[in-house]
Amino acid sequence: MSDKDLLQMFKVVAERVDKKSFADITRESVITDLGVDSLSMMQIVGEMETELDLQIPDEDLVEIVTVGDLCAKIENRMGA
Amino acid sequence: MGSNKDEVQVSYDVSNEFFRLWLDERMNYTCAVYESEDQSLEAAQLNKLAILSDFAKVTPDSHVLDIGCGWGACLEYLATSRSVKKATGVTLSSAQADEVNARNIPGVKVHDADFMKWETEEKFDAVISICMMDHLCSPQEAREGKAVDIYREYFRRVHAMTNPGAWFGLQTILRNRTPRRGQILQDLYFVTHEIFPGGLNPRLEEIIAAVNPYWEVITVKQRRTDYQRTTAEWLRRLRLNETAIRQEWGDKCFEDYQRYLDTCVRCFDQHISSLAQYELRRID
Repeated sequence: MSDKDLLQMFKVVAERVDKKSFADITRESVITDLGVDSLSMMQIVGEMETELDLQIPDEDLVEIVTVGDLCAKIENRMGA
Repeated sequence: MGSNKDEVQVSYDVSNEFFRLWLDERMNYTCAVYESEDQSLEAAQLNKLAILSDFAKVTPDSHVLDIGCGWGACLEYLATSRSVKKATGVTLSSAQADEVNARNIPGVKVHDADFMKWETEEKFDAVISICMMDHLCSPQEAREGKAVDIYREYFRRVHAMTNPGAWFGLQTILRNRTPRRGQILQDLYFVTHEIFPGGLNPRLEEIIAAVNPYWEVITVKQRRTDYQRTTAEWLRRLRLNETAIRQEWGDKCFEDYQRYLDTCVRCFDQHISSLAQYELRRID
């Protein structure tokens, strides 16, 4: 799965969870700046984990600040 | 830095009389340690204080520091049950400090202060700190990767205030699993925003990393099911006083605290939260 695919997946899942448009996101986008609170963030993480059939370790979750951070954690698990 | 004074007052200053209705008679607002299936909350709270006092190697002549002393249950236990002649408490809650100092417990003095900024010329022989560390690091600071450094600064400060040979009985609530969905996620969000704003439960590995180079970990006791049982008992007592609480403090207060305590019980049951007690020896 490419960078672009993960970014697109984040966008689709975030729009489904928060019921608003995330048209201009990049890997550098800070998740809280997008108006995504910690509740929505965990729901997005959970839905992406389910779709990709993997789990990010709980201890890593607090370090996720940008969309790219989340993508990187997922890429690490896909490569594990 | 973690919970500020306003946030702590949200957590602890509803009214001392409110908390007295559903905590034990000494107002311990932290995990008790049960020795048997039929032990009362009151006895289990004393047992918890005995364990931590033993971890801190408290003697009658020890000058004891209680960091995050709450309503003074531990300080009173030290003065009355362990014959400690001099004990000092620190709390960020004005209501708690006033309450304890008004009791004039012999040898006990409580300071209304932020421990991370508190300055004292005194040196302590034994330290006890019960479930205060969850107020040290905010979620934002954790996201910035500062958690272990903040906890390490706490341990450095305690080290600097103690005499060589000191021991430290520490108790911390912990976070473990993080829910991704369901009602428990919604309830956890409510608790962290409405009941305990500004704080974040540490993870066990963060505590273990942060004690170095100041304290040696001698013992770690995991008490997850004890905290589940403690919060279940608080919830039972809260519900027993439902009518009085609704009348005096309003429907929202009762419903918020019922939701909070019910969430706690489920969080301990589902390994989302846990609790540990540590016996720490000062590295001189």
